[in-house]
Amino acid sequence: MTWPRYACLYASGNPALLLECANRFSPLIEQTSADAVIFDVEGMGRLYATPGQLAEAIVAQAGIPVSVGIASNPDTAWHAARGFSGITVIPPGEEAKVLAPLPLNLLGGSPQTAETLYLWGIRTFGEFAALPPMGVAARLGKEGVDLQRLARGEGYRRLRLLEDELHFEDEVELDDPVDLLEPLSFILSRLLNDLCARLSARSLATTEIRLRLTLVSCHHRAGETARATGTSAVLSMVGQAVSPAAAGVPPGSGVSQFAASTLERAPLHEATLRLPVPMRDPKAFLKMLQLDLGSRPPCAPVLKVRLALEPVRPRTEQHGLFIPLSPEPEKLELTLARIRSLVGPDKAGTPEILDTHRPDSFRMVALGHGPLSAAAPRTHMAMRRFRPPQFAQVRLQGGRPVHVASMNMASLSRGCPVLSCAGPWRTAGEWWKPDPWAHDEWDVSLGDGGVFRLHRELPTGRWFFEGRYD
Amino acid sequence: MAASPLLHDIEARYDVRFALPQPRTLERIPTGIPALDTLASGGIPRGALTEIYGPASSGRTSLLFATMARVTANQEYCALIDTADAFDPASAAEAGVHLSRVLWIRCGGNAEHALKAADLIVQAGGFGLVVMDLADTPPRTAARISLASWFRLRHAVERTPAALVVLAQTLNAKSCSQLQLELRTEEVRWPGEQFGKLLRGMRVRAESSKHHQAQSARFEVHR
Repeated sequence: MTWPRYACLYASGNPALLLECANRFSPLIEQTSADAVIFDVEGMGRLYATPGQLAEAIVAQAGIPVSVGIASNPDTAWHAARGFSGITVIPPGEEAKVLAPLPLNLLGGSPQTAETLYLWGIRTFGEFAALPPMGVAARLGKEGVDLQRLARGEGYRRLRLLEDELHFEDEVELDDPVDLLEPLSFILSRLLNDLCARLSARSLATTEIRLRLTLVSCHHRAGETARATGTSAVLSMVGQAVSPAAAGVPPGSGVSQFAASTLERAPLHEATLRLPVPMRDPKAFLKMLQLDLGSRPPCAPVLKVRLALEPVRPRTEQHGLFIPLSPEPEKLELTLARIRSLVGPDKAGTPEILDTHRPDSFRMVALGHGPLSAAAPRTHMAMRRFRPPQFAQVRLQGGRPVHVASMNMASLSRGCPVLSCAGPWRTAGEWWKPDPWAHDEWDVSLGDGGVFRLHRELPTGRWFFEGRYD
Repeated sequence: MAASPLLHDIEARYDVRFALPQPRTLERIPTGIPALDTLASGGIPRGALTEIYGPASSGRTSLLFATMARVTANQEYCALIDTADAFDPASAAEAGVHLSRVLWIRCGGNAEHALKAADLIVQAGGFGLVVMDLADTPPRTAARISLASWFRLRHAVERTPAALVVLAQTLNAKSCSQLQLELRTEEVRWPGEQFGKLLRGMRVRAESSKHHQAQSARFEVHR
């Protein structure tokens, strides 16, 4: 017996239930409308003797009153499910005969075509199917021909499949807690290789890696110690005496029950790595995670590892012979991760000057491919900043600095005469904020050859070395 | 006997061919200061280590910013390893440095971190100019960086298109550097009367002292 290939499930009011029911029979599902799903039932002949039995199984699975149409093409199955209540199985070759009594309003089409057919006195699928195709084509055009093929049950199209929301995450639950980075790296490597292979299979990359480690809780460790020694042991980790009962071991319960309950309330260690460009290199990811765990290690041994990657489209870049040299983003990101583990997380990046007149206002952003500014190169007298500004002792004569000293700067600890100075230039702003600034700035040239910028804080009257011209 | 005839003699006798290493012709990054470019045979050499040294306020950073401005204007990337966290982005932008092409690594005064960061950046590649700024590092601390470390850096940068520039108060890399520029301030310009003075710039004397052939040039930096 030849099996029809498509089944349509029709019921109003519960699209989620329809999808769930269809999912139990096939992974290839089209959600045709809010009240109908069509799915591929090819191969179901191995499980059910007849299409009728399959249809009964579908109805039983749905658990609510539904109409089921089974036919050799999706549109016929859809029309059958919508047009007839209960189960309708259309054997291949009998589509036109079965669909013939259905009212024409189920066919769809434009209002003009529907009106024309109504004026012709056509009321059912069968009457429309009986019209000569050439005449329909001459009068109604392509739309008429397509609709007539649907009315005859001859339509054929592919299913518009529902795409599952992609999740790239995996987890490993460990038999014994891991307290060293090296064995943890093997586990991470395995997870990353699998996840990156899955990304690669779908031509995707990632911009975010989320790591969640479930750790052994202090109570768990105390309980283990207690069981190992057979006494109400002293918990060396926190330096407190904790009995097994206090440690959360239910009396008379098994170890597995205890482990499961511990896992539920165990502390977590989470790390999120955000990448400026989409990447798919498991070795680079592993190195970044190792660096992150090395700089911020978990506070207890690890019981469970969960890793998730955020899928995005991979980076596309047009290369050219005359494009200037630039760092390879993937390699640069790994290098920056290494450098940040040395100097600190926010100490490497590109400076971006903030839109304010406050001195030394900038923020660090990721190195990007931003447009060039309009500034032309020129030999400008550069300044080197003191961060933070160095406190200065200044002697004034006639309101102008004549001698400066600073205990924080070795060369000026004994003081130095001012040879020339220019100023003051007053700068102030953001008085409406909690941290306003108001300075009098001076340029000074000292006897030791240094040229500095000094400023006096107006509210306090204190002097500071702001920077050195170089 | 000169080397070349001797070499021919050996080649003829043993039927072998030797190739003497040819001196490399290094591509240069112009600084935009004509006198200095003439002194440095065209600018800062790529694939080599350059030392710019001198006392504080001697124009080292101004020269560096001029070079960085040229490199970034060519859409290349600069890496600035800032040992003392003294880089002023506003001042660099005024000199024409395109900040979006600058990777700034702030080492918080740790010269060892700066050395490691420089090594990592040079190994990563892709930068037109890598700067290791030891200008505010005390000479005794900078002198602790071993010659082997400088040699390693020189070797790492040798076959790359990047120029490695070291800013310091004294000479550190010595024979590892291809170009050594010593800067001194000759005059700080303060035009105007006593109460109307303005800092206008300074005149700098640069001296190249490689291979015992001291040559000098003068240039002005303006405020």
